[in-house]
Amino acid sequence: MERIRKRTKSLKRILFAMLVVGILVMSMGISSAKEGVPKYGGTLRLVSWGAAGGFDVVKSRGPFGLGADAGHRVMETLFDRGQNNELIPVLGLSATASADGKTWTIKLRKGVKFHDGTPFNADAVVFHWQRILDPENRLLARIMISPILSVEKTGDYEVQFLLKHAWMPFTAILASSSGFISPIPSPKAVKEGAQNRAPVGTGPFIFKEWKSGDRIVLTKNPDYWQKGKPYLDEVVFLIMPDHESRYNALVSGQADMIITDWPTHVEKLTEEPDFSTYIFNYRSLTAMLLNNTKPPLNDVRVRKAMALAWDQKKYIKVSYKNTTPYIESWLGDVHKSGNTGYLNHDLNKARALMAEYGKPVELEFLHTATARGRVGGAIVQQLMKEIGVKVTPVPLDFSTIMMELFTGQYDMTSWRFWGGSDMGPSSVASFYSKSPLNLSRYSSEEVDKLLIQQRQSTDPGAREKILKTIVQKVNSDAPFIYLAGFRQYLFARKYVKNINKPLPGEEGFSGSQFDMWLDK
Amino acid sequence: MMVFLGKKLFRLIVVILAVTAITFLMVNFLPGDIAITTAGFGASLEDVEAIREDLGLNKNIVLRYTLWLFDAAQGRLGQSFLTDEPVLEAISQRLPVTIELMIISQMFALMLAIPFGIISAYKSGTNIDKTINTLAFSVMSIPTFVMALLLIFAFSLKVNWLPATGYVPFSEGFWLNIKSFLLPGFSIALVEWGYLMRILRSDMISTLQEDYILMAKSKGLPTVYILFKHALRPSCFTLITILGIQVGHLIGGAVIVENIFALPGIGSLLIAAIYGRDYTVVQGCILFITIAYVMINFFVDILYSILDPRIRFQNRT
Repeated sequence: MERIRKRTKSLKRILFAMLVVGILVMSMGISSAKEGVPKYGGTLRLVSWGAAGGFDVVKSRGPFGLGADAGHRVMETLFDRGQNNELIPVLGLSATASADGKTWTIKLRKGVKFHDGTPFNADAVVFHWQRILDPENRLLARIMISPILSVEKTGDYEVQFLLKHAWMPFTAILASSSGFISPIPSPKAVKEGAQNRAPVGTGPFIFKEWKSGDRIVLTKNPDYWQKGKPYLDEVVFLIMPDHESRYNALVSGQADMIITDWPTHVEKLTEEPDFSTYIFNYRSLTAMLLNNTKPPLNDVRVRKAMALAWDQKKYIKVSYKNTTPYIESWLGDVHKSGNTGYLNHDLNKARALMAEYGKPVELEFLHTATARGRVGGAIVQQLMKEIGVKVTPVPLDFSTIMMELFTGQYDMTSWRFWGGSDMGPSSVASFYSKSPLNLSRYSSEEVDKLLIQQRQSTDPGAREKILKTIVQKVNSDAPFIYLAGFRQYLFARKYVKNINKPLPGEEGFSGSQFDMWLDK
Repeated sequence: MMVFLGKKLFRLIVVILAVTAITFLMVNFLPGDIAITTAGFGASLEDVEAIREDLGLNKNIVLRYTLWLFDAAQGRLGQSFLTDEPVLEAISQRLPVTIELMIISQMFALMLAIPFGIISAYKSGTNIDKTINTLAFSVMSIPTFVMALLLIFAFSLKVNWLPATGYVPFSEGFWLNIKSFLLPGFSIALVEWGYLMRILRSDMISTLQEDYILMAKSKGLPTVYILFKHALRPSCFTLITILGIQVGHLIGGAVIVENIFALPGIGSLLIAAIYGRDYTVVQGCILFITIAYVMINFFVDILYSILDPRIRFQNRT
């Protein structure tokens, strides 16, 4: 009997092992059928539009850090997120919340070294986060992470994050692929002041060279902790702000991949059989910010009238040739159904509101001195003319627009809202009355209360409801006008395989692994 | 000769001081604020003020210029406000690209201008002369950026013979390096050669009417020999002067061409720095461009005096 039980047990084990192997083989089969067997070697040349401003979270100052696509290949986050929002261990092994949700314990991976030979451990994580949280360092994105109080070392490979209150976006922040808050740098490189120009991390690629405004070159990390990865020998991030140059570089073979949203290029490249097309839908939008504190835009009737006069569909057709989505909520795919409170194009209602306001309205619209900026300026001018609002488009460079925004002198300007895998922090940043990132200077006691409520809510369903209510309320107050949704297209030569798709809501490639290979 | 050189050097220093001072002033009057750009959105007034203090922007403009000049004289051009990159390093990385682009484009322009100028002068008034002149006028009227886009369309996007973007350093292969400069070089040269050709043609027509040319012809010397050996050299003075003055024009062309072809030269560095209000980089680039401009014209003056002994003689008397 005992023998039979033992045999049954071992049979079960064998069956289980076969099942696991079978699943693995099946998944490999699916992967091979789709992308083939990974190949080692080669240089991937990826063209990006934006110049990097540095890789140190404090020194680079930018809240989201241009150059993050390159930086995240060198420095790794504690966790990645999967396409279904699941947490994938990277430098962190597990994240466990206390019963009240105010303490998170993170267990860290052992045996990992930074590229400079120093060990990755709890000291490195604490050092990085203490710099972020230190008010002296004036980190600009602090409004987004303000519920985090402190980080403490609780073991050589364990840290604890202490929060003001239970906060659902916490793990999304640890796994964010935007900016340089989430990736962990080498404390040695930071202390030596080298991190901003020559980043050091634990990632699959080692920083080799950064020629500002030209290229960032990374080489394979031969001692990477994930054995067998990465597949590429080198990655070159070419920086080309001009969309025509990006297109030319791909078509004439100087680049393997480009990201663009220029409609004529999107149309041409989509039809080309030599390229693979990947569509990136971000939870973000291009908007026309209205200065809510400056007359006449401090009057909600004028703002509403302008929002009703705006025809988003027409703008998308003219400026984007319908290559970007129509949008009614900044929550994007999270808010696909239900009432958004969006003010649909209705000239009669708009004219009635203007008549009620009863005074002439003349405004300046600051836009970027680019082809798209000028088209936007002309369309805004024409549409607002329909309701008697005289708009003068003013083309400016980005630096001047920034100054006008900062000093609050502007009437209206084009802008792109921040996205994110969890839209709570970006909603607080954009619409909380005391947020320094609330650039339209919108103020509503009701919205402030709701923003705090969603921040403290631990029920995903209830929180989503609150966020949707915020959208309805904000949309009905029209502190800004939705110009268009934000979509980008990645075009790659057919030989580039296993392209990392961006995570829902975030810009840039997902995760820190960059598992692409070249099948030439 | 030493007095001549001394005077030229003195003027050179005055020009450098004047240009850098004016640039310093103008950059400060540009709308926008590097402290706000650096601070980014969400920064408080205190943040911006602290950055301004860090960057030394609170100091008086005369004091800032004097300090910059003092540092520049010792080879210290500071660091980029936006990327922390040492300005001297950024410029020295990009300078070879711009110099190579300028040399190649000037060479292409001369390769077209000299033979066409000579033929046009020799065949003055004929249909050949008219055709060359029409061609020269046509290309002169095309802006550099349009020429660049046309060349990219024809040679990169259509037949894929030459790269549309990017720079390959000399260390990675001579031909690859030259290949990366062919289209940018021709974009500038095809617009510039017309000016040079017209100047050479005009001087050459006068030279060909000189008595010694008639003498050479009467000796039965071959036409090509007369044109190249006897007529070309005395017809080159204006051309050489224009070549020096044209450096400014070439730099302007290089700024546009470097951006279109994504070449990492001084032009693209300067444009990015102006948009970002990165004063230290703008100032460093302007200093190098000014030095290059006045130095080239200085050497042109010397070359001029070598080619024409009358200049040396005039200076001596």
